[in-house]
Amino acid sequence: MMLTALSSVEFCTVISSDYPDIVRLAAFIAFVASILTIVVVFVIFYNRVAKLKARKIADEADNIILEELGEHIFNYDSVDDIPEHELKATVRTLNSLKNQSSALRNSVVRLLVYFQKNLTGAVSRIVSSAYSRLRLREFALRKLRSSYWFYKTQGLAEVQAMKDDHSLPEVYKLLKDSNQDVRVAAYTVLLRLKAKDCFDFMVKEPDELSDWHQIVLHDAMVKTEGLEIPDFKIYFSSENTSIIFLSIKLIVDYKQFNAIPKLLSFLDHDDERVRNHLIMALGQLQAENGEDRLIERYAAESIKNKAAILIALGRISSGLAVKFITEKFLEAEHFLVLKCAAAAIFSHPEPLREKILKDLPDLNNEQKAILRHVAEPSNNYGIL
Amino acid sequence: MESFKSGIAFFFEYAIFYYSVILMFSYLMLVIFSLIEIKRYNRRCRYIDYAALLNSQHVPGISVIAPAFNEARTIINGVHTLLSLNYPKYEVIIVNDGSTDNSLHQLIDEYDLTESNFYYHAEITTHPVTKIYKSTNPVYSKLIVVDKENGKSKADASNAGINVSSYPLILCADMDCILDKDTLIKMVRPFVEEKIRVIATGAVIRVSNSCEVENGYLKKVRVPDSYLPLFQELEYIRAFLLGRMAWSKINGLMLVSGGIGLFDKEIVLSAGGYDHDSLGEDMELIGRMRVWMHDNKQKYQVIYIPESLCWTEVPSSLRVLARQRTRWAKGLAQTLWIHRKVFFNPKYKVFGLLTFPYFVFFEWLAPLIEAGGLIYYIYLIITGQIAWVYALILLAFIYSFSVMITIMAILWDEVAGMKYLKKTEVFKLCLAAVVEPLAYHPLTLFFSLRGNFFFFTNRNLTWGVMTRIGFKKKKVDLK
Repeated sequence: MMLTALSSVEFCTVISSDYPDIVRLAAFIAFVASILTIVVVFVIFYNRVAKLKARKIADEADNIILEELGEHIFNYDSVDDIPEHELKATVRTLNSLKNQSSALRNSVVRLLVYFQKNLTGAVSRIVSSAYSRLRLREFALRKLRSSYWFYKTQGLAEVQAMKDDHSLPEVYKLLKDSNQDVRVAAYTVLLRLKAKDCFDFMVKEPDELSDWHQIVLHDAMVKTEGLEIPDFKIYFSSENTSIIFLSIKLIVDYKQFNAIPKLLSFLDHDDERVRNHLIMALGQLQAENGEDRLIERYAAESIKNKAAILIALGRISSGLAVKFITEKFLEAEHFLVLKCAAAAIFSHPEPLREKILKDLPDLNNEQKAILRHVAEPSNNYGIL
Repeated sequence: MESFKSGIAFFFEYAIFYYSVILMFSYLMLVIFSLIEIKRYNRRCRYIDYAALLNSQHVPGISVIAPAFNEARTIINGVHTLLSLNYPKYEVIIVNDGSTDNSLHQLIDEYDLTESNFYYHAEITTHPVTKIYKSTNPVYSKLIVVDKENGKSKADASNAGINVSSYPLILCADMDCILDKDTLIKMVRPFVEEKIRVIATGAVIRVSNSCEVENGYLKKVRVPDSYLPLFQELEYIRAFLLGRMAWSKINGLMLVSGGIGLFDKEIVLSAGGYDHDSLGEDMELIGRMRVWMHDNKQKYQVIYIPESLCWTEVPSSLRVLARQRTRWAKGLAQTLWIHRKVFFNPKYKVFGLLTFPYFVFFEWLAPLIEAGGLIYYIYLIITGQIAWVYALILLAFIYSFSVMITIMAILWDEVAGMKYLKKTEVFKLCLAAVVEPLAYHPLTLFFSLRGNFFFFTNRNLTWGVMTRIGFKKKKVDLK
């Protein structure tokens, strides 16, 4: 490099010379930049060597652990079948690995968590037993007590994967953490472990949940077998709009038809997005007794919600809203309304649909084209 | 005359020096912000479990739009890659922009396409769409092929794709790009994660010229072998990992690259879609979307993620590079001119007070000032007025700083995720960083000046044809 050629002696000469200030400043910056460049290059290569070494150690550890578990543990049908001396020997080997370095310990934890997540039955119980005997819980608890949010979430993920009930007291402490990611991870653990108050967050969560948080919590609920599901309509009184969104999704997924009157009573909600979710939910639940309310709301709604009402009426397809849907189709000025009205017509069962189409007056080219469009089932996704 | 001469001398000796110092300071700020943002992203990655997103039906649907013009060589592999992305709810829209080769026939044969009754509603005006095809094979139910008359711009084809799209998010990609399998899941994350509305996300684009590719999938990532792609790789690393990540940190992003960008369709439509006449249509769209959000008093974010999710073949010949860079420079000038009302306008907050002025002073004006400086140096040499020691120190000052910034960008790339496995490859990049300011930068400077000349003289510039060399290994046959 040109600047590296400028020796520090020359540099000092320039700095202390009678050169103009800008030249001296330029020389100074150039010198610092050159030194930094050399340092950064060194860091790049040092970082590479360090990372590759860590990866190599982790790979070797994985091989030893896998070999140990494969040869001495996983070939048994249950924990009871493993001879005590063999279990002890394996635990001893893993224990010595665990105590050698944090990298090796991380490998042990990672693999056990991996097996626990992906395997069921006897192997899962064996893994759980090994985790317990190796006292790895202590490390997870240490993460839960960390002051960094990302360690806490890692610890929570570990507790969740290992289904470790004994760590629940520490998990409860995190329900009031200032970081929402930590709180949501803690709620997820309670759901996965079927704690008795696992739905309390729907009352107590102070902040709006992002769509991502809702997806994670929804996933935890629907994938936890034997979870006692509450009546989600009770959470509609929440001032947290995101809790209402989540409740609506869950009402639909768990087909809680008894919530329909409550959904209808909330159609006057101030928030347009809440009304949109309610309208779609009524359609998905095929709430026949909701058709009149939906029709009643139509005039006051935005284009997006008007379209949602038409789609919902199409899904309900009791036949009672046919006149309304047809009217909206014929008088539609907005393309989205036209498309949704057409889709609603085609959502009706065959004989009724034929009758609606037959009764339609002379249509313009756009109306004809959109009917042909929705007639192809492959075109009818993602309309809203 | 004397005072004019001394004025010029003062301008080049002092004003430009302090301009350079401010520019360097801004680069240092970008370096710091980008590192903070990359670290933040990496930490969140440790927490995020993508399985929940992949298995959820509550994720927003995505329409992947890829315009294609005479892409017969790569189109089947390209579509194959797009159809294999990991995401639970998406469609793929290929817009055949009046290709004169057999790319449409290839698609029809490969994917059992037949004409569909799909109704084309031109919410954004485009050149006429002739036919829309869908596959009779349920395996390819996600695929829609739009055949349209050539609109002489990628913007027109992308707009046709937007008109056809059904989902609330649209991913605009180039047909020749190779996307990572997890592109959609990773790019959609900010949309579902952030509480303030996200209107666009972008990801890092890398150079695929020497990479090994098989059936449209990236098999092995390699540093480009030839010089021009190698220097461009450095430019990409610097632009994406330093510039865009830093602007993302302060919500000041003005560009989501045309190669890969995920957009909120509602806002794209409200803003009017891509500008057919713009040569920098990707930057212009973000500018217009941002203006629309501010004018409508809505809070929003534009986010970049530091993951390399898209690999593209860059020009390996000087002729194609010249055309591309001239177009980019003219596109930048066009965009800045179109949105000039944003310049130092407090209504547009970070965008108006920071990003836009930065682009005016340090992206658009920098080549012009640099060229002026070079001409002044030449004048001093010719007239024998040059003080060689001063000149060399000033040159070393610019040179060493630019090398340092590039080397830092390489380090940030390593922090974001080591893409190159061999140390020798990284060493090659570092060496290229040392040579680049002398061997490559003058070329881009010249092309920038040319682009500005074309802008000021209102000379037409077409997109031209990107000559593709192809990848290391290419198996087209998928059967």
